[in-house]
Amino acid sequence: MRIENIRNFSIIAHIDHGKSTLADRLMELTGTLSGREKVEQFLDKMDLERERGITIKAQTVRMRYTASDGKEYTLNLIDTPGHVDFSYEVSRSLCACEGAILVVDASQGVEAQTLANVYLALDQDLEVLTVLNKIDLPNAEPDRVKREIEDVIGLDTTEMLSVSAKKGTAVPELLERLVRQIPPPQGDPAAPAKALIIDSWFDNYVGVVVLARVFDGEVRPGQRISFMATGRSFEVQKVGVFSPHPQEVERLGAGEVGFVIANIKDLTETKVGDTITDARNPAATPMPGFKVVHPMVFAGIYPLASDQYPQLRTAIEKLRLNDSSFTAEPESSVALGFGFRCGFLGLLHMEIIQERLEREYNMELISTAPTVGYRAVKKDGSVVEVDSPARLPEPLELEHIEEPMILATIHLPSEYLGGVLKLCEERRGVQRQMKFASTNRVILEYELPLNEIVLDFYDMLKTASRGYASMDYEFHQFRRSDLVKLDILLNGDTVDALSLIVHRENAYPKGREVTVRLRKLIPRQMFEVVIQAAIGSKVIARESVKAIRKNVLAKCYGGDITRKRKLLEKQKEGKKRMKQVGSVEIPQEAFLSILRVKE
Amino acid sequence: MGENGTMRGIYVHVPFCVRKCGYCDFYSVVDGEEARERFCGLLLQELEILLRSYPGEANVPADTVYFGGGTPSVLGPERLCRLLAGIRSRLPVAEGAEVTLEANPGTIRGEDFFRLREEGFTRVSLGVQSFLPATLEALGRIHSVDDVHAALENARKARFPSVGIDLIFGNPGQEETDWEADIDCAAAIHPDHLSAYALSPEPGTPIHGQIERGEISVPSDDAAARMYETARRALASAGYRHYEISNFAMPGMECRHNGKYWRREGYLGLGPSAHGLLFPGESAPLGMRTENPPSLPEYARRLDEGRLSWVEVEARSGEDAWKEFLIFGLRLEEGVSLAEGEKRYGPQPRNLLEAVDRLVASGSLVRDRERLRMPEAFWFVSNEALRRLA
Repeated sequence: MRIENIRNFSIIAHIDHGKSTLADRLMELTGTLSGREKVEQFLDKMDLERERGITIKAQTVRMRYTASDGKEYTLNLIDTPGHVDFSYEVSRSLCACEGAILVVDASQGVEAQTLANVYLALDQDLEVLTVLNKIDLPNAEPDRVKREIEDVIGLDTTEMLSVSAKKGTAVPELLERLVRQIPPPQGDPAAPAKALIIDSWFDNYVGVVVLARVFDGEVRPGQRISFMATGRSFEVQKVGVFSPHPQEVERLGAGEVGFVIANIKDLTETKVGDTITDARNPAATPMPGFKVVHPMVFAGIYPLASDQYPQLRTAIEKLRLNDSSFTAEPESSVALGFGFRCGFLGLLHMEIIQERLEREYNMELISTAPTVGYRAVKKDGSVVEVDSPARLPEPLELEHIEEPMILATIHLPSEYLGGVLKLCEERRGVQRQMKFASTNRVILEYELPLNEIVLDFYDMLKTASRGYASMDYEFHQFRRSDLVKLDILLNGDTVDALSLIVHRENAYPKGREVTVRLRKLIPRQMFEVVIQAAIGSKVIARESVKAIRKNVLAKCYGGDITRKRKLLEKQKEGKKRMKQVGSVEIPQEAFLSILRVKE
Repeated sequence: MGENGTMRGIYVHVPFCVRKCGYCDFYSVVDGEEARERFCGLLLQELEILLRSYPGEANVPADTVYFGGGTPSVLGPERLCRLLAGIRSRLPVAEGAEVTLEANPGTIRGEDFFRLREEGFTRVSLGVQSFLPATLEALGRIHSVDDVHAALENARKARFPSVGIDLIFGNPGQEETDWEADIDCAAAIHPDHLSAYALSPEPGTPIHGQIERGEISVPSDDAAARMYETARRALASAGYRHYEISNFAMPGMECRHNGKYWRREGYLGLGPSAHGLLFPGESAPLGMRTENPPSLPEYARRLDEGRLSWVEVEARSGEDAWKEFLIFGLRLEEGVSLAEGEKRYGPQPRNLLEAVDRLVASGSLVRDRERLRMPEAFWFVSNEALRRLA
């Protein structure tokens, strides 16, 4: 394919604004998907993706399209992950494109996250085609949304297309515009190979599959390639494209997008954003913008039954083959036994990993309350990375603690400003900027401790704005803060897995809240359970669960034996989801729920 | 002899009542005379088919026979005697066997006791439930307090070696003082044996529905626990042994038949819904649990076809046997002998051993050399410990 006839683009849309449906229509119209294969939302391959309506992994689809000018074009759709937790991956995917289709729901309007991605696209000089979707819905407000796109994003909407991806209305016209308006890739086929890693995953049969966009030169089987950031080199075995099924090709030339298989065993060798080049004739400079992503949120993951630790280890190893952005290190807890301290890009990422472990590997897990990564500065000047309350140095050694701050951009209709400001202030936020994007739309910029937003801030924000506010954030800096470790004691013993790092001002209310919550969650048992919250040796809150008074099979004779035994077995099953900590049985949900702010 | 040198029991389930009580979830019907007559024939037929299928069982002597229900006394003394004689003529019943009849004080006449005693019944268990008219009404019982006194007096006149009563506490609307009065009345007539059951509304019973719908309310768990305490204390000072979670007896008057259930000894279960535990030798060395259908017509249909009436037969594995041995044996004050368990079922499975160790460490079980038992203080919450062994 001649480079002039290639178009690389992605689709930017907020969750539920119709990205996957539009992608399906494009594939249908170009004959990429046969009628038999029209599985709704082909792009979201994982069950989880389909259920949650979001894309977790980047994917590409090559389509062949004969335009009205009579020429045949190759259209490469590069699908990007669609969540705030994955913004670096989004930026790498966009970097592989020359254009983007911005899909805006005609009833919902522009959302903050969409905006963030549009800015990413504009920053990389992508041609943005704006499309108003769901125009067939009765509550569509095309005029209002158009004005919003102009006011908020600053895009010209005079030539904007209105489509219904669901019904296919005006999608053929969109294809024509793609070809006309998105520029062809620029690249030198004769230069040393230079390709950008968009994503990579592990395949049980062929090892690591790298998804890449070739900028200069070419990648072909037999070639010795090297990765410029990691420095490792491999021999290419196969290259190919997805259309949408994998299909081998002889070479991937400049401007093309496809997969590279090179007998790579470990996913950590292939980092998103790294540059592939020819090992014998390397490019002079790598693609700009590479960075190593670091986990933002940490939590302990433990098997419910302690004898399942080996299975958990295997499951985590296998899952890490497919997702190198989460980290896992063995740790042990007095309360929970052996498990792993895992790091995630964000809370959604954590939920996804946990769900996949439970679902795909049939594990029953307990995860501890997520925490952000702190930095403890010791009196001797050394710095300790603290990804678990248990790793906090002893008070005597500790000089101070620093917590990660983020910069959040919150986008909301002005009528909800009061509630959202209050929420941000409650979460120790410092306002950096407030601007009116239009008469009734506000953009807030806040500096917030990551710790305050990690768990439920997004939900609270939605509540405070009836769902209309949205948010995007990025790491800002570490900042010294007055933090303390809040311990939870059951019958006098500290349960390490329930410890939290909190701001001193919040310690008392938090302690009260957690003890009350645990009192409600912990069922009555043989002995009274005393629940205490303490900072160091100082108890700041106390609750108790009275001993159970009645749990007996009053009648048990010949005819009852089988039935009564089953009853006891059922009680036993019911308690299986409890973790025995010392003499106390704690329900699984206790470990996570202690951080939740409101019931 | 049966398994382990003990003799077996025979349980006969008589599935008739004058009226169903709202709290009861045992199988019974209110059919008339004709059905009762037919039942007696079926029961002996069941025994014959069983002995034909398992001829070895005919040589295992029984030292207890227990007529439960339902309300066995509604059959009347003649049919009861005929059944007992019918069993005796087909199976060896030991000299001095304990032969119990559950009776409703409202369905048994004075002279009946003499007839039954003559035939060899040795024990009567009267379903008294309460001595307070209001409580009896709340439970839907058909008998009066006077009936209770009369039945007790007559049983004694007929020289029954053991007369027992059943009481229920935690009843709808029951005050703690009501229960104290019940216990006082019970102690005053000094039965040889007394069962005190915490009301346990089983799903499917009318009373369960009424509680669920909020139409009636029962005492709280804490109140029920205090009532249990009241009974324990009062009956102990009246000289009773609290030998099982819900059972009290004057020394030596413990029910031998029920002891077989808790000690995992063999028994035949005859009649609709009856369960049995057989030791037919090699095919199920650790015991086989049998179960009759909880339906008189279904029971009759099977027997009429000349088949065994069992709808469920299950051979027990070593682990099952151990679990049953522990969870039912620990209901007894005496607890269980671990040496006996090993002798019968082999080494204790490791998971059970570990669970037992944890319970011992927490104090909810006590190990005394090779005996394991549960301190009485934990009995009313015994499921908390026993479920870990299930």
